[in-house]
Amino acid sequence: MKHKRFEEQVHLYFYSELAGEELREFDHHLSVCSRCRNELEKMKRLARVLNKFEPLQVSDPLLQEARQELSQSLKNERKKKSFLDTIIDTIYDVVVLRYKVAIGGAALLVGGMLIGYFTFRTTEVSSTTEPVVEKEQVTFTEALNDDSRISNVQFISLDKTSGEVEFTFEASMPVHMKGRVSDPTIQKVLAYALISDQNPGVRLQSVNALASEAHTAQPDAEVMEALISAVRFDKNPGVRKEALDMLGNYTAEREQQRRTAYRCH
Amino acid sequence: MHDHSSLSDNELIREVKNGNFSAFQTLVFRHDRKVFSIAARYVDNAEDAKDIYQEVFIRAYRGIGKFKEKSEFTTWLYRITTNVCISFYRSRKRYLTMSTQYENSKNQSVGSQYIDKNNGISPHRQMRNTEISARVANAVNLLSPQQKLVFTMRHYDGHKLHEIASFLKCSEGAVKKQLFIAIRKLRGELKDLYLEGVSE
Repeated sequence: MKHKRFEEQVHLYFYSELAGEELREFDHHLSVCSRCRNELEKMKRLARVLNKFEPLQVSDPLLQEARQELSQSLKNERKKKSFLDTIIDTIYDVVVLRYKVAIGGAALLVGGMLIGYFTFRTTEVSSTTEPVVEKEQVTFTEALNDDSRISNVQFISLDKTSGEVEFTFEASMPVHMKGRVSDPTIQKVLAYALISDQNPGVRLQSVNALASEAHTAQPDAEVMEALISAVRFDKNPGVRKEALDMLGNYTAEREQQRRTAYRCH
Repeated sequence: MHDHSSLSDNELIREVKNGNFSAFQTLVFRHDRKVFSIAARYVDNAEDAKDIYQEVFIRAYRGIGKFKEKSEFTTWLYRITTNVCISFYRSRKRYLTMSTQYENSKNQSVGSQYIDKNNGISPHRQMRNTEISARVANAVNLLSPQQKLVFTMRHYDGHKLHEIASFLKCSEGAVKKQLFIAIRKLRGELKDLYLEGVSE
């Protein structure tokens, strides 16, 4: 164990980096350990190789070349520095040193104003957004301004007998809607949810809601497109089946209406 | 230009701070050979060595106004040098290229371009020496940036380990460890040469 420690110090001994007690111990160890003497000899040989074949030395012509290049760079640096120094020194002398008390006061004032502004601003924003969070009634057009997309549709209730549906969704702002499924606006939202909502449960509820009024409502073109799209592309078989049934209902209703009209004629 | 050669480093620094540019030039001429030497051994390439040399003194010129004279000017200057060397290495990522292409490095090295240490010897011997020099250069290039700096500054420039530690801003123990690893690697790489006794 002790030998290993001395072996690891051979290069330090060679470079005269041992002193005091360490040096005395090493000298003593060297006098009794042939392995360490051998290691030291190898270190000396390595150093001779490194010195004799030292690949890199700085010659005078190279140094002169470097000095000339440096001289040019320093001149450029000096010009840059002089210009910058002049500006900085002027600002420092004229503004900072002479008016340091005034500047300190102004900085405090500005800091206070900023803190006040941000505190006040936060309160103001929250007071204007609160009614929307409280789900005030907003129109569909208002909610869907700027081409916002409908997301996060959540059904609250669906009464198939009265044909009333209540749900919330998010567009440019949170919207709470309640009304008859026959309402074109509600149909548009439901159609949109049917083709775009990630949740198959929501898509299924949308198609169910639309189906509840299929016998009375006039099928909107967008609703028809959504239903056809759901039948063709929806990954969920339940949604596809409901959409297909509803399309069948619409077709049957139309056929009935066509026959009634024919008879009246 | 005034003759500043008799002034100490700190006196010259005060002159520079007072706007005397030629005092800075005196400082450069006083210490630049050592800086160049560290750079040249580090990169093994004349052009890169000149780039490092220039960057060191430009940084020194920019920062000399903030130099507090608490340490030696040379300590501060070599600290800049080691920082520039390490950041230069990181930016160029030359390590692998150089270690795998020592045949090229022997043609581009500072030594082979500017130093002819082999005057008066046979062409065969000269060729052999060039080959060995390239192998030594390659072995040194295999060291990590820190190991290379520690080794070259200790072995070739003769700095004590505690000085190197202050240049690199690390402990003396860390420097000892780097030197130990560097020597071990060099011994491994050059074993056949020093056992063969090529330096005799």
